[in-house]
Amino acid sequence: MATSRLRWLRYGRIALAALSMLMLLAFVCHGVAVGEYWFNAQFGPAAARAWLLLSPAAAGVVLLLLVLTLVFGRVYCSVLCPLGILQDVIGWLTRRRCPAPGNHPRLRYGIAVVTIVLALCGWNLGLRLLDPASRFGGMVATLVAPLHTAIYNRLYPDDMLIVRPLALPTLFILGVLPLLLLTALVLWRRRWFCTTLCPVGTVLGLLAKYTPYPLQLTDACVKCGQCQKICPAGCIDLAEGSLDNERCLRCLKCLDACRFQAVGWGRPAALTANAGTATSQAEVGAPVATADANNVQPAEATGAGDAAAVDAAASSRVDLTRREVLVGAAGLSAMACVGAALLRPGGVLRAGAGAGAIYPPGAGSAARFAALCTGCQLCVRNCRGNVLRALGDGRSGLVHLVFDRGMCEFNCMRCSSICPTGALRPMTKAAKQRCRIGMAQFDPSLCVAVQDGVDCGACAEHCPTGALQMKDDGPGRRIPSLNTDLCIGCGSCEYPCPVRPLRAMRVTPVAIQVQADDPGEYFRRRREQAPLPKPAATGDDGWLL
Amino acid sequence: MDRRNFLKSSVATAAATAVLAELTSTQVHAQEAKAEAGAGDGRAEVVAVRNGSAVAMFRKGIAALGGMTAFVKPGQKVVVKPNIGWDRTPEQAANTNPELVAEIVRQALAAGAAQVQVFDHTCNEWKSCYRNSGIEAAVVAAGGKMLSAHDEKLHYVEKSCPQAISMKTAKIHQAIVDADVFINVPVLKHHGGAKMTAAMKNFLGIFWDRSFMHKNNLPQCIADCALYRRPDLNVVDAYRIVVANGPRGKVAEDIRELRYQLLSRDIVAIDAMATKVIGYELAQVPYIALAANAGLGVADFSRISVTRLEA
Ligand code: SF4
Ligand code: SF4
Ligand code: SF4
Repeated sequence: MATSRLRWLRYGRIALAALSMLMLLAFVCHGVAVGEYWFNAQFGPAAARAWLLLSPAAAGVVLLLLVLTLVFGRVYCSVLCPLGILQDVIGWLTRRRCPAPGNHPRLRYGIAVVTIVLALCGWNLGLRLLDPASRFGGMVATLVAPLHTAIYNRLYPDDMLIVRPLALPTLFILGVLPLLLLTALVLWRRRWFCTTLCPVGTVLGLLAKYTPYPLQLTDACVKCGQCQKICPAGCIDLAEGSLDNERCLRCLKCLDACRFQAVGWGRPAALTANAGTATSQAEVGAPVATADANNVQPAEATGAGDAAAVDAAASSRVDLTRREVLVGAAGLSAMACVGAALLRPGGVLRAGAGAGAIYPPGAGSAARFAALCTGCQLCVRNCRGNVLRALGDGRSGLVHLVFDRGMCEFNCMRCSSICPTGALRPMTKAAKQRCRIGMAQFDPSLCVAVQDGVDCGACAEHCPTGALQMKDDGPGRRIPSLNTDLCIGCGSCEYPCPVRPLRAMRVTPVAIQVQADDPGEYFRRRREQAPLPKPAATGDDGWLL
Repeated sequence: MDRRNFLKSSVATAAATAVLAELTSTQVHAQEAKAEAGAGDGRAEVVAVRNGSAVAMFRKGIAALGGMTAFVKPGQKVVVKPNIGWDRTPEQAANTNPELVAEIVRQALAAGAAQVQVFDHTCNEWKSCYRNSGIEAAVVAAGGKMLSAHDEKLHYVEKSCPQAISMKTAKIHQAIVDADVFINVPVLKHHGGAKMTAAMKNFLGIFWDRSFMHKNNLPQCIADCALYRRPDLNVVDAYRIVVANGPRGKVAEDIRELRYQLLSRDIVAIDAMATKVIGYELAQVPYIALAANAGLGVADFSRISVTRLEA
């Protein structure tokens, strides 16, 4: 009966994981609003946002996740993280017997520290490569969402989802390649990514290690090896009789698998009550042990029979010596300096980042955006104007705008409000409507209104700011005229301009996004100077016709 | 249709028919005959209504044209084509008044229409336009159906029209091809490119390829549009009109509240009259003369009889 209770615990966590996966898929593929909560609960983007925007909400999420981890261990990794859940699914689908991941503390801490230091310096490189939520977003946006759109549009032709273009390199870089790599890792060493590469997991692990409610092998353990065989994190060491809570992903497979119910989850005192050796020191044992790991380790190891000591030993075995920490810190600082140098204005990375492309409102500048965007693809998936493109279409290595299928919708500010990392700064609607992301350029030699002398005006018709107007140019001729002070580079002129292959109106990139003049003010002033003529009543009783 | 709606609409139909039969039976026949003759003798009739809500003006105006039953017969498929081109609110007057569209849907259903469909091939992203114009909600509440018009393959069929001068083939919305009755409900506005947009310019939203029209002599293409499918009724909403910075409008000063509405079977005559309402010379809007020359209707003011009504 105890077995069945533990089994239900595991089923419960699977159900929660399934719910998370469903919500995240529904959000990324279909824009289902509740799903956004799940994405906002992702640790990597929330931490980046908290730092970049000093956002209290994001900081709250981070704090909540930290507390959650401190109490329950890395449950984040088993029920919230989509990449973690995906690895479980891959493992379950392939059911391949493979060795468990080893323990590589130096690699793990190294990656996490580099990620954090660079992020603090303003470069989200680590997150761009390894943040699980962002990489999951990329995979879903390229591999799942297009299929979802195709099927949905076939079923509901009167409520069509936007069909977004997908360049082959995008599909490969954001979708196929990461999925293949992840699958290969799972087939090779189960959830090696989570215990070694993932910076989020490493940070959470450091807290999970000190949870007052660890997962432990109790003295009912007969060392049959069942748990070790199925543990995807490789955190059970039977020889030591230990379970490393820093790497334990809380998949709860071992609870279910152990026929002797020798894996316990709770306060060490309660778990070892049968043996009668539990003491209150046991609970403080772990933190003390880490204070000077190097010295404690041998002493603790000898007392491994004691449950408290097991825990302490397990934790201490993955600790670094003081020297290693110092050397590591020095190395990382050096790397950060190199990174900062590369990133400085005019530096290699900034220069290459995307000259010649238009970036979404809120990006600030090409350089800022290049350093901060983690490529989660939420903005691309949600762009109402269907103008945002992922890297891969040759124009930029970043998310950028192309006006071949639409324009940046004047009333829309979805990208800057949805961006989970803060790479796109949230703005008020008024600020978005004046945010200059590019600058229109008019080529009269291509314009049909200029060349053929017939009405066109597609550009002026669409321009939301009034920057573009059709001006009288001789009898019966109306040609475009551009007021650059009002232009925000939204592409509402480029998109409808009928001239091909090159359009007569084209938006060119700007180095830094600034606020354009306020059209309301501009036109009110003009109306005051020259009021619009009133239509004259011609007929009887003031009729106009 | 569920039973309640069915009952409601049958009661409404019965009531409407009874009232009309009593009040206007002779008038209806007289006017139908006149309209038919009108095409031949080069005359047209436009009803102008002013100083009421869009709904009140429509009720007055349609009654003067013989009521909705003169246009919609029981069991027919009706398409109503408002202007929903822009992601703007009703107050910004860039789209047709949603209450007016809803009233037309209601009356068409009351006249026995099997279904009333509403769509526009919008300029801004279509879902935002449908939602923020208020038209989607109003139409659905009135019992009509909003259609999407944003997939070339799913929603459009290729048609050709040899009489057309510039646009000889075009992809036209399937619903228009299938409709028994086509009611064209534009909003009157200034237009940067075509000078004025009203009944004829509204036709751009039933075709797929705007770009072609802009590129190949826009006024001629606008005139060609109506050759593909004559509307059975045109209603020009001029309650609030954009008089500058059209067709989108940029600031509140671009909008004027006129409280007018025009109704006509003749798409050219109604546009000709609309130039007076917005205050332009006929010659400033070249597509009107082009359409008149193509025999689509009457642009000569002396041959248009106007019925003026106060709502
Ligand atoms: S604001 Fe513009 S770029 Fe951003 S999502 Fe909306 S339409 Fe797309
Ligand atoms: S001129 Fe073009 S890019 Fe500039 S605001 Fe107008 S439509 Fe947008
Ligand atoms: S849309 Fe292009 S061709 Fe037409 S008026 Fe503008 S610039 Fe000229």
